[in-house]
Amino acid sequence: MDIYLPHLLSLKEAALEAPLEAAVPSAALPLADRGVLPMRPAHQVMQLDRLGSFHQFRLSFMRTLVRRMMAEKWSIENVTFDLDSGGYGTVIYQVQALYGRYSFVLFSNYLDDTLRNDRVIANQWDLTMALCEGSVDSEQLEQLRTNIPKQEAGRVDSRVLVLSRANKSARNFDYVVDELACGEQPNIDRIAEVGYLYRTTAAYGSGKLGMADWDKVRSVHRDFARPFAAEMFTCFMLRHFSLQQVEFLAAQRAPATAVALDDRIKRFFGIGNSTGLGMAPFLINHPKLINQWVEVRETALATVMRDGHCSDEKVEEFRGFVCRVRQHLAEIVTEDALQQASNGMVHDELLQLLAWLDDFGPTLTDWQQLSEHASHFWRVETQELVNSLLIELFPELVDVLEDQMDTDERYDCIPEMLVCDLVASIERAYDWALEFDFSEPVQRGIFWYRSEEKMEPRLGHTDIDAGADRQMQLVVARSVSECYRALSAYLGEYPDDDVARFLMRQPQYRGIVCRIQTMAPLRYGEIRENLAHREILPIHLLRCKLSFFGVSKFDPRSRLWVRNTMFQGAPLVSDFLSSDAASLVDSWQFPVKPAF
Amino acid sequence: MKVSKNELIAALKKSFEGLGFQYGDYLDAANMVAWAQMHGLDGLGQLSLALPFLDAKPHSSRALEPAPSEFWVFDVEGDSILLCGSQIVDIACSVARRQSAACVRVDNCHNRLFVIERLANAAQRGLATMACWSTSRTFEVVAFEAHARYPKVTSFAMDKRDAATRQSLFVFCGLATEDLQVMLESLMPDDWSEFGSGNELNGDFFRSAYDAALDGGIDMPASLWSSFDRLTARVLVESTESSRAGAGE
Repeated sequence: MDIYLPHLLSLKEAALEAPLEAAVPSAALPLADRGVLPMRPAHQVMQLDRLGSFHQFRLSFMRTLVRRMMAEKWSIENVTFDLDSGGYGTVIYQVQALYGRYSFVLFSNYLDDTLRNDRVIANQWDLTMALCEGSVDSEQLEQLRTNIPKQEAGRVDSRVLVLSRANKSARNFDYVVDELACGEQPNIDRIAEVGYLYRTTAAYGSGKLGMADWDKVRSVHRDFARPFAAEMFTCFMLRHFSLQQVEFLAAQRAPATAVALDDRIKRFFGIGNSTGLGMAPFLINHPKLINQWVEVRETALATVMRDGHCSDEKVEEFRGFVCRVRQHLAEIVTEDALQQASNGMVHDELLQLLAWLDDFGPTLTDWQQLSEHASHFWRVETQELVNSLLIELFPELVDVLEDQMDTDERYDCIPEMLVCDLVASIERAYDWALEFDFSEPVQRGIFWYRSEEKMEPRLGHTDIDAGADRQMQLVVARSVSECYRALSAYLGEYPDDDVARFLMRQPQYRGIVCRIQTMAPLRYGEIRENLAHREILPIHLLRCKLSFFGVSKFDPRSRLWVRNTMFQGAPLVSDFLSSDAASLVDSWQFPVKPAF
Repeated sequence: MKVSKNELIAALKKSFEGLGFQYGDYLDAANMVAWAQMHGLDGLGQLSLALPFLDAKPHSSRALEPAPSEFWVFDVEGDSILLCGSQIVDIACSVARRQSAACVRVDNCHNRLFVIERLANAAQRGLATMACWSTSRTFEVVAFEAHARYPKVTSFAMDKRDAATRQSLFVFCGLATEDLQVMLESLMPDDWSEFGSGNELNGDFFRSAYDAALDGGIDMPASLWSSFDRLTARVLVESTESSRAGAGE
């Protein structure tokens, strides 16, 4: 953190308040040579419903991982494939990446159908797995065999980077094995309904349960030095195993008739994911990281808006993207009525977009025209989808940002800042937080807490549920409002005091003051919503983070958890060295059924 | 049992929250203990000794009022530096920014070793920082250059001294290390010259300790981990059928 220099801070904050076209990229990004970019303002981007409308994009973590693996030609080979005829046993893959060697260790165990549960509180799974540094010797393997199947109840050491688990898709797994055993390929329409053979319910990294710290991963294991790269790779390996396993089982069952999966169908299998409230606090507790992710995404978009040429070829390529997304949306199967309706409306609006391109595509001078039209006539979800596609259109402008997703996460107090400056800073950067009236019951209708069951985050209803006295500190808007009131009163009594003296007398505000002082100079990072509102939709928080992971096909199961698909359409391990690698590496955004 | 840094900090945060520390205080306290442990200063051993005392009374943020003096003096009445260290160092930093150097004395303060992380934090923000305190057997001096990541820690042996200590801690912040050295020497005991050179821990020691802890993990005594679980349980909410609905069922 730099020394606090009031005049510099004022300049930076003034820039954030400047008109849209004059905005500059954050100093947190080494992007000075990009000059003036038309960055969208935080009051537009950081609305919860818009964040919950984000889609995967070129710089999502799965996308950048696949590009890295293929560009660097990672080698992934079985060194142990010890499964019985039921598909149960131990599998170890050796991974040779550019900078290091890793082992992916997987245990497949029998699980009774009645015990299969996607919730955090489950304690048995079909598959459990770990990504480890280096090679795994017999002693370590036995340690892993003892601990990995227990997941949170086990312990590992710092040689382990990621730990994960997965459950079979009841709808797909046996069907696919049966078809292959009979010498048939599975019906692609049926696969399109689910799109995976296994569904993962957690991928833990960053030091949990004794694993390697993120500081170690990013400094020692450069292959995974981007946020969540090791976790995404673990899911990619799970997908790889799932495809090997169904082929193995079919061959075991009917050696004479079994066939391998067609590569096109293989690619159309992803990995299912089930994400609940546990992901939500992350976005609130890591605002600098979220700021960085959004800043990178918005920088990519703004660069396209300023520098992306509207050539006939690009317009035509964009039209192709839109058609593909319409097919993708039409193929999504969800029981959630709201999601169904949303997909339908976006599908319709993309048809309008195609008509708009017919009318204006030939004379389009910049992509801002399309963006402005979208913001006037189409839903937020469609707008953000268009933005993802525009970023997709210009890899030459945006791929350079791939390594910018990480940041330090220091949250420092600036004790010498004058209280009057802190008050002004809140009024500038947190004006949105001051607009909530927390005396209204609806604004404090729910609270967030940790359950004694595996510390699972849950929502409680104020005045109904127990636990409000132990709630998590996630309602930033309320904390800011309370702090602002205290500061304003203090300012009347001690107009010349600094923050150190304020906190000396009112130390209960230290946490929120540090947050405000850290975050106020940054453009994005704070989600502009009251998370205690009775009607809050936490699923938006989940979707935002999942979009940066790069998932697709959101299938909400309630307002609190969502199923989705990872790596669907992505290249296979066998594609890494194929002659088609170049055409496959980035062709899987918004996956669609393969044509035969 | 080995734990990671992230895991340690997470466990410490929840434990301090369970002890009644408020948001902000429990984040800082967790970082203070973790820094000492990661850098080879047995933070967990120190915390083990302190926990019974920390758990003996409810904790809330303490409003500080300086006692009249030519420099800043606070009596924290037996509190741990884990609870008030941030405020103390903040005051020293803010005075230093205005006056180029500052000295703050804290009386009746325990667990003073943990202040080092707060000094490191201030040093990272561009100030030279120092602290000193005496124990029954030693006189400890910690010094960071401005922007330095690691301190120099010197421990001087002092036999039969200071049994009736006020448990004082001196914190110095300034724009230049030389100013702090002058302030420190003015506070030294009269027989300072007899202390000898002392045992010194420098940047190499702290860097290698940190790297080893990051690479191999941190040894965690089972009893202390159990204490963390017990304290963390205080911030967890009992699970019921109704509460499970609050996670999406």
